[in-house]
Amino acid sequence: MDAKLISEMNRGYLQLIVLECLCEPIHGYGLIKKLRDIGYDSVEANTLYPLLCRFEKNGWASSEWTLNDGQPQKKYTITAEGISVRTQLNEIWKKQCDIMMKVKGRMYDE
Amino acid sequence: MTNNLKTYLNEISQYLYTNNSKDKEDILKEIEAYILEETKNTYQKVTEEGILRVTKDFGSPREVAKRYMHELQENTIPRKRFFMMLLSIVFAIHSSIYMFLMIYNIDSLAFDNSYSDNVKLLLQILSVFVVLFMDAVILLPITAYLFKKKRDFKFFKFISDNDENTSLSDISFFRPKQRKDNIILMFVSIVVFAVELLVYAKYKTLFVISSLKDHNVILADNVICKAVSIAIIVVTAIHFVNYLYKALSGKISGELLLTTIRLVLLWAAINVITFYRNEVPEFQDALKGMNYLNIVMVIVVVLFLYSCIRNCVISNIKYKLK
Repeated sequence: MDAKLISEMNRGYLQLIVLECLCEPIHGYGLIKKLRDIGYDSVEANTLYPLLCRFEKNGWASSEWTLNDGQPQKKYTITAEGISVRTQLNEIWKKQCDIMMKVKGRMYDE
Repeated sequence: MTNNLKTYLNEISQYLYTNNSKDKEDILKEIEAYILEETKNTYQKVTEEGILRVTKDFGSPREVAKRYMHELQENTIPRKRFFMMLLSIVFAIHSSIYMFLMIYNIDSLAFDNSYSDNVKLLLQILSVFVVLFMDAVILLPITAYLFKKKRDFKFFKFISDNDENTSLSDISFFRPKQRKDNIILMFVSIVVFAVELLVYAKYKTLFVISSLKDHNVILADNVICKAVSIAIIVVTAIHFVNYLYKALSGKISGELLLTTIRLVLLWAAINVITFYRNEVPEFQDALKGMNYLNIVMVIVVVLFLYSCIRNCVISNIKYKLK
């Protein structure tokens, strides 16, 4: 599949998915694995880490450095502000899905 | 840490500008953790070759830095900081123009002849603050207007275009010297400081010229010249401390203030030189064979202007040298 098309479609959508995944503390690498395990294999580390950084800066996620087998890991968790953003994004996404379904339905009717 | 990883992180660090140095440390630490974990999981153990492959997949250092800065919107400069930077640049250009005029004897700041020579010289030196005040008064409403439209004014949109990909990593030519260069500058400042002290101890002024005609030493040693000389020595000492601090900590700080002080002192020194050249007959005789003096002064002003503009920009973008 065209990488540019994937990247364009993922913009915005990735934010919502990541916010959904931050319900429990998770570090960047764990998040990439989790997303790939559920089939979201187009996600790239160099896109995800800057995104997490922005979430933290915007106050949508908080972070904490922990040690795992002597390796430092920065774990992220969603904040109250992040939950509010996630709710809004979900509403937008649902509305877009409805519109898409209606458009597709009309196309099939024709 | 392996050599390849160290080089990779250093390169990212060179391109990554953040308003907060702790953010940058955090970003680099997180990238390091990811590279190590990915290498270990993909190649079972951490090797130089494995690191090289993983870093290649992660992206070029410049690209990685750009992605972070794009997400963090670090190509924006806060209002107060933007104003200070703009003011310093305009002040540097404005005062340099006055210095060029002084060097070529175009008296743009003429004072009443009823003043004594000392008062006239002092007023000419102090007029630098009038220039600074004028610039601030002109720039305040302009920046207020610009920020009224947009809270976080994008620096590069102001001077270039609407290119969304423009980021501070593109101004790498402004990148300050490596840490080791500060050690060299520190030693240079010690030598300059020692020479200044020796000259001052002997002549009680730094404005000393040796006449080419009769090999006499001619001194500009009134109260103002002495005061300016002491100020130059003090600033050289501050430079030494500043370079020592930068060499040890790798941090960039205090550049803006030091740059402004340096420019004010240059203004004072050029005022003293031009005043004595025009008003004191024995100086006029001594300087007759020194036609190159103007060129030297112009080169010094241009170098100060460039370093001033450069420092104004880098002191507003905090990051750590490696």
